[in-house]
Amino acid sequence: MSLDGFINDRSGSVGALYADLDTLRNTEPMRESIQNTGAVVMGWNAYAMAEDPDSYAGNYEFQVPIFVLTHEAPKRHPKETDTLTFTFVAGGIESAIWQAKAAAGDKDVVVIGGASTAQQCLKAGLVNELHIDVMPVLLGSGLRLFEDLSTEQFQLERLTAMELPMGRTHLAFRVID
Amino acid sequence: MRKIIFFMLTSLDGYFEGLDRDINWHNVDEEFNEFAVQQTSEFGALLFGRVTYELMAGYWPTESAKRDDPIIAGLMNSLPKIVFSTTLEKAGWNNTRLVKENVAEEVLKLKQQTGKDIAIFGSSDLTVALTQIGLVDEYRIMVNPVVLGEGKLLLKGTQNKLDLKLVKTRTFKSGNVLLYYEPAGR
Repeated sequence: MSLDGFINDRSGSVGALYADLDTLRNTEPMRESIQNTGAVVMGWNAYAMAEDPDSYAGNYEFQVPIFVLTHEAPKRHPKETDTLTFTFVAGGIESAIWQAKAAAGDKDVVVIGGASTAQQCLKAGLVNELHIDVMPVLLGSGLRLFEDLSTEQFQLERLTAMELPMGRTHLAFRVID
Repeated sequence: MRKIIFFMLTSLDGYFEGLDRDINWHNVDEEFNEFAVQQTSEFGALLFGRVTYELMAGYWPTESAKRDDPIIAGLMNSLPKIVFSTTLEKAGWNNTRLVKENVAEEVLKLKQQTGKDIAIFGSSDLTVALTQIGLVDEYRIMVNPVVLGEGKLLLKGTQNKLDLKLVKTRTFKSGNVLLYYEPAGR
C-alpha cells in the first residue's frame, strides 16, 4: 500500500508498489506467511492480474487451494497441481471464506485482495489479522484500500511493525470486532 | 475432507412437500428401498434442521418403522446425528447432538474430521444456510413424476444464484430420476 493509502495508481498499475518482488518473497514475514497459509481467497481483478492464468500452478508463492470471487467462472479452468487448485465462487465472500477455511484445515486463510474483497471481508467481520506493507511512495490517487471503512465498525491492535528492504514497512494488526 | 451431500425427493414443479406437509406423493418402491439402503450406508453422520429432525425422530425409533424398513431404521437410529436449532430444548433421538449456535464452525469442524461423508436428508432450510457459506458439496435431487401445484419450494430462500454441474443421473423404473449435482466452479 502507498503511504497515502492506495493499492494501485490512477492507471491501475501496481508497479510503484512492487519495485522488487524477489526481494519481497525472501523477507521473513513473507516466508512465514507462505509456510502458514493453507488457502488463498482473491477477488477477480487480483486473479486476472496474472497475464496467463496457467502461470499460478508451480509459480505463485502460495501453492495451495485458491478461491476466486467471480460471478462467472472462466471458460477454461486454469492449470492446477496436487496442491494448487482453483475454485470459482459466485456465492459471495462468506461462501469463499468458509470454503477456504475448510480447505486450509489448521493453517491460515490469506485474502490477497483486491480492495473490494478486503473491504467486504472487513465489513463482514471475517478478518482476524490485517497485514499491510507500506511503501515509501505517495500515489496521489488510485484505488484506496480502506475506502468506506472506519474503526467504528471494528478496532485494530498492532501486533508487529517491521523494517524490510527497499524502505518497505511491514505492519500487522489484530482485527477486533 | 468429508463431503456434505444433500438428498431430497421433489415433484417436477420443484416442491418437496405438498400442502399440510403432504409427502404421500413420494414414489417409492422396492428399487427405491434398495437404493436408500445403499445410499444411507455411504454416510457417517446426518445433519438436520428442526422440522425434519422432529419428523424423523418421531418415526424411525418406532416399532412400525423397524418392522417396515429394518435396515434403514437400524442405520437412522444408530448413525451420529446433529440437529441445528435455536428453539429446540433438547434432542432425545439416539446418538443425536443439538447445536444451537455457531453452525458454520460446527459444520467446518465436522468436515475436517476423518470419516465417511455427511448427509442432509431433507432439510431444505439448513441446506440453504450451508449453501450460503459454500459448505455443501453435492445436491442429489430425486424428481418424482408428479406435479403438485403448490407446497414448499426446494431450496427456497437461496440468496445468490447457485450454478451447478451435473455429475450423473440415474433413472428408476418407477419414473423417478435422480440428478447428482456439484456446485460449478470447482
